[in-house]
Parts: sequence; C-alpha cells; structure tokens
Amino acid sequence: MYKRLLLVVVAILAVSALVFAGGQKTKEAQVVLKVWDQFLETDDAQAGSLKAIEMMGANFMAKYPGVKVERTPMAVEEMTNAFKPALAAGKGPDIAYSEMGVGFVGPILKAGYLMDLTPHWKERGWNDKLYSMAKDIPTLAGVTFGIGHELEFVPIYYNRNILAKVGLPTQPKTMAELEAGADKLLAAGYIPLGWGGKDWWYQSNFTTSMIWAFVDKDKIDAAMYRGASWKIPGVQEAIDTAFVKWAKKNFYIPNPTAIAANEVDMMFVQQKAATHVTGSWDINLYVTQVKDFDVGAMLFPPARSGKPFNTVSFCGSGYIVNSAASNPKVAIDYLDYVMASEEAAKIWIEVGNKLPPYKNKIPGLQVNEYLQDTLDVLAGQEVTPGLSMTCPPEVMSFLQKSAAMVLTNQITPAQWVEEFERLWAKGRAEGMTRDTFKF
Amino acid sequence: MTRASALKGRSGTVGSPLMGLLFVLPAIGAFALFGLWPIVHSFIISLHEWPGIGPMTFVGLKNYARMMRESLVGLAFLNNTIYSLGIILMAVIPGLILSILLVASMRGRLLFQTIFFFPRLLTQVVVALVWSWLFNPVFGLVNKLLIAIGLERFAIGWLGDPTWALPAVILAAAWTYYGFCMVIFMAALQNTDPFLYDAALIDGANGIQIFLHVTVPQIRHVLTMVIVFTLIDSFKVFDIIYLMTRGGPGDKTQIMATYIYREAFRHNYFGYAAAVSILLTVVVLAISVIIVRLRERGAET
Repeated sequence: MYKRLLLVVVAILAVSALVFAGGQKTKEAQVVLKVWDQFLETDDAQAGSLKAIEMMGANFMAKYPGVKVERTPMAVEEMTNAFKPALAAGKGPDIAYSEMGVGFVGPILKAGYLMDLTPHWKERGWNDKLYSMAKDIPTLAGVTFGIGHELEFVPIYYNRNILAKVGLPTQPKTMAELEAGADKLLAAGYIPLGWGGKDWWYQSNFTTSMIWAFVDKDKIDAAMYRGASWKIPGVQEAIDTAFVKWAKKNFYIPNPTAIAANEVDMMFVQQKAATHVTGSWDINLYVTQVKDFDVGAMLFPPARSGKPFNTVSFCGSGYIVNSAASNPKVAIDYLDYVMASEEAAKIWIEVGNKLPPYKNKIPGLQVNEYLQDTLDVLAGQEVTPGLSMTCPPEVMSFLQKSAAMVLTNQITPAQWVEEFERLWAKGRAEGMTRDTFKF
Repeated sequence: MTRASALKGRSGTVGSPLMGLLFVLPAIGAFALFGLWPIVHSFIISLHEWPGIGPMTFVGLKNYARMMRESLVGLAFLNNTIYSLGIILMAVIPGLILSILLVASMRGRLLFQTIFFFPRLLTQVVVALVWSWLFNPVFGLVNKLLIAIGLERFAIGWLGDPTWALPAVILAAAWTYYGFCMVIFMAALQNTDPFLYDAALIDGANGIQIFLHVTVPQIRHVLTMVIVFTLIDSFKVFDIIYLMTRGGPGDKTQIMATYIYREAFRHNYFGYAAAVSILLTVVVLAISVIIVRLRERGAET
C-alpha cells in the first residue's frame, strides 16, 4: 500500500515539475509589460474605454508575440495612493495611466522615477502625429514625461427636445442670453442647469468654465503660466454669478451641495434638467442611457458680447513610463501603438468614445454622433486647459470644495478670490506650478 | 541542590527566564514591527519635509509649529469631538437601554438581539452608500418621509448642509455601533448580582433609581471600557466620513483622519501629516488615560 502511495506521489511530483518547467520556459520567452490603468469593469463611464484598451492590448500582443501586456486596473484615487510607494519599493508598473497634474507627477519626476520621453517624441514622430496639448500638459521644466490622452472638453450638453419646445437658441451668444434662456426653462418647469456641487470634479470644472467665460484668455494664460495675479476683472464676477446669483435664481437642481454626479445624470436622463453641465467624458452615458431625446452640445458663452468663446479642455489622464521599466523599448512600442497609431486612434474613438491626441485624418472613421456634435461646435474655437491641469495641489483642493463653500455662505466671492490667490502664490513658492517647477 | 532543581516550578517542570523570553519574543517582535516602529517612523517623518517619494529634508519642529497655526486642525479636532459625543449619545446610551430591556425575560430576545446587531456586520462602504441614498435630497427616503408627514421644510440636502451634514453622518455611524454596545452591555448585565435588585425593590426604589444606583455601579468597568473604545474609534474614523461627504461641504465635516489623508496624499505634505497623526495619537492616549483614572478615583470614593 505504501509503495502504491509512494508511486502516486512521485507521479504527481513528476507531472508538476514538467508543467512548471514548461511554464517557466514560456515565462522566460515572454516579456511581461505591466500597465496600471483606470479602465475598470465597474465604472460605467469607462465601459467603452475598457473594451477599447482590451482590443488594443490583444492587437499589440498579436504584433509583438513575445510580449504579454498585464493590465492592473484601479480607480484614480487608488492609483494616486499606491503609485508612489510602489515605485519607491521597486514594485511599480512599467507604464501607468494616471493624472498629469503637477501636484501628483511633480514629486515623482523630481525623484527620478519617470522616464524622460522627450527624445521619443522626436524619434517616434509623435510631435507630428499628436496634438501639442498631449505634450504640453505632461511637460515640466523642459522634460516631457508622458503622453496626454482623453482630450476632453467642457461644453454644456442639452436636451434638444426641451430647448426646441421652449423655443430657445441652441447656442446662446452671451451669458445674458444663457440667463434669459434659463429663466424661460425655469418658468416652463424644468431645471435650467443640470449641475450638482457635491462631487469635487463638478465643483472644479464648473468654476473653471465660469472663470474662462468671464476672463480674457491672455490674462488667464498670464496667471496660469507666468505668475501674474488672479485678482483680475472677471474672476470674482464669475464666482458671484455662478454660486450666488444663479443659486438664488434656483437655476440648479435643488440642494445643489448635496447633489452628486449620479443624481445629475439621472435628472438629465429623466428630462427634468434641460442641460447637463458636464464634460465630453460623459458621452458614454448618452450612448447607453439616453433613449427618448436628442442630446446636443453648446459652448459656455462669454460673459460679454465680442469676447471669444473659450472652452475648458483637459487631457483627462495620460501615460507615463517608469524610469526602471523592465523593458523600456517594449514600453515605448506599446505607447507608440496605443497613442500614435491610426489603428488604435480609430478604436479609441469608435469603441471607447474617447478622443485620443492623434491628429491625422482617419479614413472611414465612424464617430459617435454626440462626439461628432461636440467636435463640430468646438471647430475653430479657442480651448484652454482647465485649472486642474495646471494648478498647485492646494489650489486643486480649494477648487474641489469652494463652490459648495460659496453656495452655503461659508465664504463670499471676494474671499474666494483672496484665498485662491493666496494658495496659488503658495504653490508657486513651493515650485508646484508650471512656471516655477524645477529639478 | 542543582541548578535544574532550583529552577523547577511547582509542577515539577524545568523553566528559566530565558525560555519565557523566547516564548514571548515573537509577540514582542510583532508588536515592535507593526505597532511600535510605525509610530517611531511617523515621528521621524514628522521632523522632515517629504512629498511621499524621494529624499526627506530635515526641518525639525517646523511641521508642529505649522500645526499650531492651522485653523483647520482645530476645526477637525472639534468635529472629531462632536462625532465622539454624538456616537456616545446615539449609540452607547441606546445600546445600554436596549441591553437592559433585552436582558429581562422576554420572548424573541435572540431575534431582537440579531436584528439590532446586524448593522455591525455591514462594511462601512455599504453603510455609507445606503445612508447616502437615504439622505439623498432627490430620491432619499428621509426627505420623502418628512414630506409625507407634512414636514417639507425639514427636507433639506442633508449631506450638503453645513449644519446637518455632520449629524447625518454621525447618525449613520451610530446605526452600526449601537448593536455592538448592546451586546457588550448584555454580557456585563448578566454578571450583575440579582439580590441587589431585590434589595432595591424592597427599599422602594423606582426604575431610574435602580438603573443609576444598582445597575450602573455594577457595570461601571464595562461602561468605562466601552466609552474609551468609542472615543478611540471615533477619533480614528475615516471611511464613513470620506465616503459620505469627503469632509464637505467645504470643510464642515473635516475630521482629523480625512485632514491627515488630504495633507499627505493630495498635498504631498507627508511630514506635516505625520505631525498631525502624532498629535492625534497623543490626544487619544491622553483622553483614555484621563477617563480610566477618573473612573478609578470614582471607584475608590
């Protein structure tokens, strides 16, 4: 009996050894490219992107048979918390798809954990193939450390049926026209502005859009990039209009400081809110949830007649490369395919409903109607990166809560400007702005 | 007498201090590694400026000086105190009352015990989600109920209201805690002396007098323990606040843990955040020591 048992054990061990050895042989032949990204199964807004990145991963592995792309998806917040300790412990991914703000990447870049992609931008022809914003955003102190992705814009999406019913123009030319339209919508029983001030990105994006509408672009650029003061005409008026005047006029979903993104989406989809003050990242929502009406896009109108439209834009996130990547060439090959190939760009747009930074014309491209509409209204118009792309981290925190503070009378618009200026100056002093960051 | 015989205990086995030390060494090692070292390391970090990656820059007590100037530290501490008192009012006291009611012979005691304890089994994520829905101003049951009974003016945006956001979160947290308190108190009550209750009844004491002069003195140790644990737990709360309000609106529900998290992970001030955590540790320890000492003094008198 014991002999039989021994034979069985030996047989099991032998089989295991063969399998293991076979596996080892396979592993040794394969380069594993570890990628951390944000395309989660549980995130409805990323459903299209998840499908897109999986397709691209399969295509890449087909082109490079010796490479295995191992994705680890995680929420943005989780990535923000896990990335630094992982890098410091030598366990970071080869590539990460992360936020590009100076507050997050600045310390990582200074500590030498990110690969300088400047030469690759030239060698791989990315300077010609990709929009400059995809390079400008992930560039600090002359070092380009990433490729910006998910070109996003913050127009105002609206219910075409409701606006037609109430008899409103689909592109107000000034803020006064927008307000007049909002009054009419309110009188007709609709919520004029589908916006909620509980979630941080709703607060920061809407604040930025209003400032862009009231302040001239050259003054914005001077304050964002060259250290000029934010105490400029228009800033206080923007805050006052958005969070005092319009709140008193009940333009928002009631109790806006308690309204999160889900509720805003719901009110728009249920046709209780006539507009959806969000960004182009929500196009997936319209594709999957909107069945009974048509959605259009309009630009935030300027505060006064004659001032050009200026729409907030973002690179939602971007790819960065670990300076200790196990196989740097493979990492760059992956980025080259995912970000700078026509095939991948087509997948991002058609499957992911996302705008990659690829700027060449793509033959036979089938663009989702909402995305096409967004691009049509933006054609030829000015866009400026949002504050969250360029601001120091404490300013970012302030932007993420200050709309609610004004709405609940914790601070006045004048105090808002003072605090914003103070925090921006502090960030500059700490080297956390684009013009002051240095190694 | 040999050394071995000198070392024999009553049971006749050979022991030595060295052997005893060897047995407790793994526990000491684990405590030192996972308990003591993180505190020591946090203190070291608190003496530096550090963005969470790369080299640290020694700044001495600069982070502590900054902490003294920041009004948000005081606000966060106040919110934690309010939170703690709220949990004691809405969880510990109801837990004690429920335990008294359930310990009395009663049909269905086990069923009620299970029902009251059930929220304790839920994760904080689930609790935060459910209560966020309940308090939702658009579709939440709380507002719908208030409107249904004619109290429409109280149907506010709870989690976005600067006055009511913190009480709303405290209510959600207390809902998971009172069942736990109830179970602890029930165990304590079952060890009380029934003769003392009989004596009190004979002396003509009413229910409240029996509660104050018979029940509470007998369970004072457990009561102290529960209050101390409640305070410690309340000062280190993070998840339910972060999930329900993220410290908002503005900073109205900002507590020490969310403040520390933001300073470290959003603002890259790991040294400063470590300094605030050291303060939090000292405060919680001090409160616990004070309460235990007061109770001991009360027991002596």
